[in-house]
Amino acid sequence: MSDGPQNGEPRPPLARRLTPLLLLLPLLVPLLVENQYYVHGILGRILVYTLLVASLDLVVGYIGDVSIGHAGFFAIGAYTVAVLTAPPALNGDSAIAFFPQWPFLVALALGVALSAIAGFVLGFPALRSSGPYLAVITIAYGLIIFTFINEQEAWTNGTKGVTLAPLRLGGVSLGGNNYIFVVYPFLVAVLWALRNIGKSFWGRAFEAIKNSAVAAACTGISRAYYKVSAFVLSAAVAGLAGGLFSQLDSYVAPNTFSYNLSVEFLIALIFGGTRSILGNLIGVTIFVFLPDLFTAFADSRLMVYGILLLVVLFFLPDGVAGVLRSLWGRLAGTGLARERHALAAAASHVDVFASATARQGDALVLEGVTMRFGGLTAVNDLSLTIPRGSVRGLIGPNGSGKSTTVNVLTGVYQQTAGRITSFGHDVGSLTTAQRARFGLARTFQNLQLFQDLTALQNVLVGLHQSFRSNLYQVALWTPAARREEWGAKVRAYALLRFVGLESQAFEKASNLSYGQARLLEIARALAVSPGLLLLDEPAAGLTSAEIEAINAIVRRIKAAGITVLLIEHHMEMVMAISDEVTVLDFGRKIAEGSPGAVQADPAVIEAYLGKHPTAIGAGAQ
Amino acid sequence: MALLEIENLVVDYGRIRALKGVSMQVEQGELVAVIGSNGAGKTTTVRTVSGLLRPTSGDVRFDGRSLLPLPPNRIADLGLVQVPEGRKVFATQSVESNLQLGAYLRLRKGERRGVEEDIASLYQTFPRLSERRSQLAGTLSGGEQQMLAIARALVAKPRLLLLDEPSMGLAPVIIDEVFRLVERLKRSREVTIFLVEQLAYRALEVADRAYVMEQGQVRFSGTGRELMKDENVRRAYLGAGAA
Repeated sequence: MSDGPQNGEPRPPLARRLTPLLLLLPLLVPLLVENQYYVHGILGRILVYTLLVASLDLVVGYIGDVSIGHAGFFAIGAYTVAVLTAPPALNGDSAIAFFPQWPFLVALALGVALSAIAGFVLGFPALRSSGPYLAVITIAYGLIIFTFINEQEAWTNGTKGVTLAPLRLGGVSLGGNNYIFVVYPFLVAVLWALRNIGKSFWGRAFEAIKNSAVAAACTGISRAYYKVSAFVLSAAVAGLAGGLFSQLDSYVAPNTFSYNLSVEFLIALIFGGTRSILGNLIGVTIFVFLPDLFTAFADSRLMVYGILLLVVLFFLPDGVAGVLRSLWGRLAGTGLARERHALAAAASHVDVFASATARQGDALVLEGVTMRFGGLTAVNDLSLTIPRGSVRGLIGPNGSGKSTTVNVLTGVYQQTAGRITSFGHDVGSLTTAQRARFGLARTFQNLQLFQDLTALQNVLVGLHQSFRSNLYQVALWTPAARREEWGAKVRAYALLRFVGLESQAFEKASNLSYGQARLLEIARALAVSPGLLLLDEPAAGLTSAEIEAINAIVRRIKAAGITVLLIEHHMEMVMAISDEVTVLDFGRKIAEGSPGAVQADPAVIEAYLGKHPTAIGAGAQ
Repeated sequence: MALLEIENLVVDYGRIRALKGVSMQVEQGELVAVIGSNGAGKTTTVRTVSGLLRPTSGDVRFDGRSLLPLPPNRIADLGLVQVPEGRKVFATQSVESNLQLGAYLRLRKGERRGVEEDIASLYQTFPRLSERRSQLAGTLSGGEQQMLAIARALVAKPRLLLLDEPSMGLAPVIIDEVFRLVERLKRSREVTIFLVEQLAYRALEVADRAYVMEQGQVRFSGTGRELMKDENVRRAYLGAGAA
C-alpha cells in the first residue's frame, strides 16, 4: 500500500520531503561536543522543556485557556519515575520505605498515565470557568501538587528529594551526554504527533472552541469533550516531560517544581509564540540561555532579563513565531498555489448536496413553545409548522421574540414549555451540538466566524462530523487520515465555490469583507449537511447587490431540498424568497401566510408602525 | 441657522456601512422624529450626534459648532442630552441617585440649589418616581424606568433632548403614557426634541416634522401630518408589496 498522494492531493516538493532529515542533526551534538555543561545541562534541558512548553501550548495556544499549574503535571511525571526506579542504595536515609525499582520505560508510562488522570480532573473546572478565574484554579492545582511532594515524606522523601541511577542499556551508559539519545527520539515523536493533531480536525475543533464556543457547538463540536481532551493530552505530554526530566539530573527535589516553573514555562511559550513547534523551541532556548548570557550584569541580571522580555513582547505580540509565520507566509505562496490548483481540479466534480441525507416529515414543528425569563415571557405559546423543502420567513419588530426563538430552536436556551419536533424526532431536550449533528445548522446575525482560521478551515470545521479517524490515526497521520483530510478539503473547497468564495479559500476569516463573511457563514452551515438551515439576519449590513447574491444562494439551497428558516428585517428579501411568513410580536404569533397576505395584515402593520389614529378613531366608534 | 444640523453623515461599524450619507436639521423648539424599521440607522444617527460613535465622514453641528472633535461628556455639557435606547438606568442605585447623577455636570458647577429645586419639580411631574425615590432603579417596572430615564435627562436642563426608542419593550398602555409625556414636553417648548422611534404612527402624531429612514439613508421627510397619510411610510417598513 502506497502512502503517497491520494485523489489528486499534491505531493510536496522533494526538498520539503527531505527536511525531516535535518532532525537527525542534533544527534550529532553529543558525538561532537564533549562539554557536559552545554550538551547535557543546556541541550538536555532545552529538549525536555520544549516538550513541556509544547504541552502547555495545547491548552494556551489551541484552547485559549491560561494554565499556571503545568509544573504540577511535570512533577507528577518526574516523581513517578523517580520513586519507582530509584535504587535503595542511593537513597539510604530516605523516608520512603520501599523502592520497587521498576524498569524506566514502565515507570515512565505510568507517570504519563497518572499525569493524564490529573489533567482529566483539571479539565472539569476548565469547563466552568475561563480567563483569570481558571488561571487562579490552575495555580491552586499546581500548589496542591507542590505541597504534596514537599510534605508527604513517606511517598516522596520531602525536601531531601530522590536520587536516581543513570540509565544503562546493555553495557552502555545512557547518562551524561548520552542521555540526549534517549530524550531526543521522544521529543521528535511527540512533537510530530502534536503537529499532526494540531493541523487535523482535532486542532481545528480546539481553535473553533477558542474562537467562538457557540459557533463550534452549532457545528456539532462538543466543547466538554474537546476541552477535557486537550487538558488530558496536555497533562500526558507534560508528565512525559517530567519523567524524562527526572533522569536528566538523576535527582529530583520539590523546589524545582514550584509555581515559578509554571510561570517560566508560560513566559517561554508566549515569548516563542503559540501554535508553533519552532516557536516553542525558540522560546525555550532563549529562556534557558538568556540568564546565562546576562551574567555580565551580575546582580541586576534578572532585572535586565525582565525588561528585555517586556520590550520584546510589546513589539512582537505574537512572539517570535508570529514574525516567522508572516515571513513564511510570503515564501509559501507557491506551495499554496499548487494546493489551490489541485483543490480546484478535484472540487470541480463535487456535488455539494450529494451527501444530503433523505429525511421524512415536517422540517420543524413547534407546539406551544414558551420561554420565560423570570417574570418576562419572551416567547409565548408559539406553534408553527415548517413543511420540508420550503423557505419560511420569521419577522417581527424589535423585542418581538425572534432571537429568543432562534436560541430555543438551537438549544442555547431550554424552553419553559412546549415541544420541538424536527423531521419526526423530538429535539427539544438535545444540546446545541447534538441538534447540529441531527441536522440543524445556523448562521449568526453578529458573525461568529473562527477569525484565526482561513475560510477553507472555517468550512472544514463545519465538516467536523464527517471525520471518522480516531485520535491515534490522526496523531500518526496514517494514509487513511490523510485521505480523509484531503477529501474534506475538496468538499470544503466545493462549498466555498458554491457561495462564490473559492478565491478567498486561504484568506483568514478576519480579513474577509463583511459580505464575504456572511457568505462564509452560509458555507460553513451547509457543511454540517443540514436538513434545516436557520439564517439569522443574513442581509444585515449588506448592499443590494450582495443581498441579490444571497437570495440566489437561498433559492439554490431550497432547490437542493434543504428547508430554510429565514429571520430577517430586510422586507424585500423576506418577501422575495419566503414561501410563507410568520410574524411575531410580544412573543406571540400574530400572523402567518403568504408574503402578500402578511404585508396587508392590519395586525402586522400595527405591530410595526403602531396604531394609526384613524384606526383608533374607527375602533372607538 | 438650525439648532442641530446633521450633514452627509457616513458611519461604519467595522466593515458595515450603517449610515450612507444622512442629512437632517432640527430647529429650535421643534420636535423632529426619525422613523424607520429595525436596522434602518436611527439609533446610529442619534449615537453619532451624542458623540458615542465617530463618523467616517460628514458633520454634526450644534448652534453652528461642529461636535465631532468633542467627547460625549463635553457634548452633554453643551446641552445635548440623550435618553438611551433600552433606558439604561443605573439599576443598582436609587431613583434619587439616578436623578442626582443626571445632574452631575450641573452639580460640578455648583448649582446644588437649582438641581434640588428641579428634582423636586420633576417629582411633581412624575409622582410615581416620587413614591419610589429610595427604591433601586433596577426594581422599577419597564415604564417607570423609561420615565426615570427621561427625568434623569431633564435634570441636566438639556437644550436638545435625544430620545432613543422610548417605546422599546413596553406594553401598549405604557407606551401611551410615555407619549403623553413627550407631547407635554413638546407643548412646554422649553426643550427641543429629537425623537427616534420605530412605532411610526405614535411618533408622527407628536412630531412637527419627521424623517423616514431605510437602510442607512433618509428616504423622505415631511410634516408629521403629511406623513401620517403617506402610504410610502408603510412600504418603508413592510416592503414594496405592502398595501
